[in-house]
Amino acid sequence: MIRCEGLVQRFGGRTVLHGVSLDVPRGSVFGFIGPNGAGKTTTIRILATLSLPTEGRAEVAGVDVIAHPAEVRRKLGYMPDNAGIYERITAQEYLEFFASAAGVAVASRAKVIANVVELTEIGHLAGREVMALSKGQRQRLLLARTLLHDPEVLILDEPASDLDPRARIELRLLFAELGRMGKTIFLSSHILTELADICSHVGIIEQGRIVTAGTMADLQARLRPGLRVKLSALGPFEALDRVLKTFSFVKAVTPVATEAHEPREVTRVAVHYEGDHHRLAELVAALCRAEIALIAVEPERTNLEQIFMDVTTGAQPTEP
Amino acid sequence: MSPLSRLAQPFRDPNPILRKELLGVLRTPLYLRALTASVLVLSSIVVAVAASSSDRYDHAQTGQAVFLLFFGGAALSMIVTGSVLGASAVSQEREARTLEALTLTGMPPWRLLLGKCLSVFAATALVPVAAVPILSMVGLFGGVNLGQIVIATGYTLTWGLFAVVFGAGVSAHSAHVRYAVFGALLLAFVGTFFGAALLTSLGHDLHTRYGLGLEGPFFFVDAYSAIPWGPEYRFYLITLPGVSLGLLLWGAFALGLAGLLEPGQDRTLPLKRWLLGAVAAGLGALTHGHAVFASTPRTRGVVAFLALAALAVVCLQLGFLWVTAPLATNPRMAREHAQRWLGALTPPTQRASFVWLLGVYALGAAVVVSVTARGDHLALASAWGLGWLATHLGLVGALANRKAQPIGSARAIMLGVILFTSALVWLIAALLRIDDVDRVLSIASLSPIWLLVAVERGLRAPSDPAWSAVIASAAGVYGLLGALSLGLYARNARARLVDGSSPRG
Repeated sequence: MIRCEGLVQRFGGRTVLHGVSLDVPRGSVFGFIGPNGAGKTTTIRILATLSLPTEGRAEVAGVDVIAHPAEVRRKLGYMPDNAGIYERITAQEYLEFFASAAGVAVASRAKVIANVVELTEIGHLAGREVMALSKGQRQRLLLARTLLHDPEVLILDEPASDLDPRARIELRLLFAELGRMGKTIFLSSHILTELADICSHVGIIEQGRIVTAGTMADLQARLRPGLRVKLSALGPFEALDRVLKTFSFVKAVTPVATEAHEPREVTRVAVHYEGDHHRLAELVAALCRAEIALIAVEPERTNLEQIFMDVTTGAQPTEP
Repeated sequence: MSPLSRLAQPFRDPNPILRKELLGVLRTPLYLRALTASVLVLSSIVVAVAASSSDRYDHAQTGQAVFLLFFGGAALSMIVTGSVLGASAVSQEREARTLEALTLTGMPPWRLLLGKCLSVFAATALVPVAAVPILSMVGLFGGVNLGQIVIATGYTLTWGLFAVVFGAGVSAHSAHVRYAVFGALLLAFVGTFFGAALLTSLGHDLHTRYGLGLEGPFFFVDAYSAIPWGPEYRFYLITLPGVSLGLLLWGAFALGLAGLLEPGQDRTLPLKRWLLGAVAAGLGALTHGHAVFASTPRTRGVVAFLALAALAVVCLQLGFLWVTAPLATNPRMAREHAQRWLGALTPPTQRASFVWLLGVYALGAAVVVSVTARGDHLALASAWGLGWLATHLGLVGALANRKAQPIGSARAIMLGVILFTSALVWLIAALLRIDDVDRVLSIASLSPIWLLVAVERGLRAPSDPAWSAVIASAAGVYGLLGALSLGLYARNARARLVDGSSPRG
């Protein structure tokens, strides 16, 4: 659905992208991650037809962004980072304005607006001036505007930045819903834990180069093989360690610090093991047989933060 | 969409920018305060002047003074507010980071700019409209009739429109509102000063000759009723204002469009189009005004001929500049165009430019035929049309053939061709010992003007075999040129289809 091949972008003597290549399948939610200055926004602006790459090619929904930018725009919804917004009109007028500008037919305009308002749950804001909306409400309004022409692909640049936790969670649920509707979502964010929750695919960029890309499961298998679980029990670490180490598929058992408010007798360990969830069931059963009082079993989900730290060097972009 | 639906579209679905901007402006308390203050200031000045004048002058003179003061003040207020609001129209969108969202809607830049200009103009025009009750004082004093008020209103609104469009033009090139406002005000100041000076000097001449009641830049108000219908009326009061106002507005709009085009697009294109139109319209206006400048039929004919010849040469050159505007803004698009079967038959230029260029030729033909036609209109029009078509094909063919060369070399080649053929005319004349200039020019020139002259002479003297020979030779030259050009283009098109290479430049 989105393809980049060897994208190079130079600004003067400075090369910002060094041959970026990506392939985002239809219907996926793609998390685009990278440190500041890595080239995320530059790549996104090329995909959104707002910049021409110096070299390489890119396609959105099968359409070449360089040759047919107008056609790409009909299939694309783009929500930029820190997007501006008209303040002296109401939310309803704002949507009507963009629907008209995007060429939504007069006859169907009201229905289209009603649909996106319902989807983004901003019906109660329709009569309010945009200047009176909170940051989270504005983000929802921007997302509603992005959806007016029913795009196949959504490109969202840092949509959750500066939002409070509640607004973030609501926005995340909305993205998940859009993903279920079959939209391809290309999402850049700094908040890796949130991306891990909703993304099916991830690409990591650093210093203008894609350092790794693929499905979450692929990345996990390639970069952090095996499964991890955190076990909490009442009793000493040694008792847990002794039982767990009897299994050959357990690779490591490491103690984890407990929270300050937890009682002293609570012990927490991180277990790295090979296999699947049946193995985890075996471990739990063995601990129960050994009369160890388990109080929590927390399988670790794909740790995007750890993967990010593993594949990036943290080097800053250099000036020419 | 049918032409009728297209016409009804602005009413069924008005320009969204216009609607949104007007809503925004009317909800801004500062705007309403500024509007009230402007009307109050204008009214106070007018009332004060009326009160002080009524003691010293008769009623008619007082009425005229109030009239001039009102429209002078309204024009000034529109120029200042129009420039400031126009200057913030696009730059404010850039500053607020909202322009990209507009661009991504697919709305064409001309529609965006038009919406901006119309909304700012509507907001600006509210100042004189709100102050209209003050004008009722003119009714009390007399000295000015309704026609003059209508003309003065149109004149004032036109000044305001200029300020708005020029302001928006500057705004489209500026990333910051303050720089745009400064630039637009500077432009408005210089434009108002020189425009008023130009109008005053133009009005002075007419004022002396026709005893106009009003002088200075407002002479127009009187001129339309005082000058009798004739060549001068048509030239000074219809053609000249129409062409100059139209070109100025088009120029400002083209400036704005150039600033709104996207990266990779040829930003000089709107200005190239304007340049072509400006030169052609200017020369056309001069051709139309030849009766005013030349007193005798003989000099009138020379003026008309020179203006037409200059028009032809300039159109030829600018037409070439036009067709060199590439179809594609990047090599990939050019290659795709060339690889389509239709691409082999159409020139590698912007399709809109191509159609527009043909339209300009047709318009030129209509103007020339209307000015010079004394014989068979159809024959003259056909001669003109064939001449330009051959020339156009020549330009496109040469361009297509020079695809491997940068546009600069192709342009130099075309200039060389024009100079060479011009020299060839005189060479042939010298060789054949022909002393009739018209006949010489008709033989081998690239310009269809001379073919036109030949056809006209031939029609007037059908018994003269020499003219038949001239027409035949001229037709031969054009036929050759056309065939050669088509050959060049076809060869080039085939080559492009085979190797998929694209024009450069």
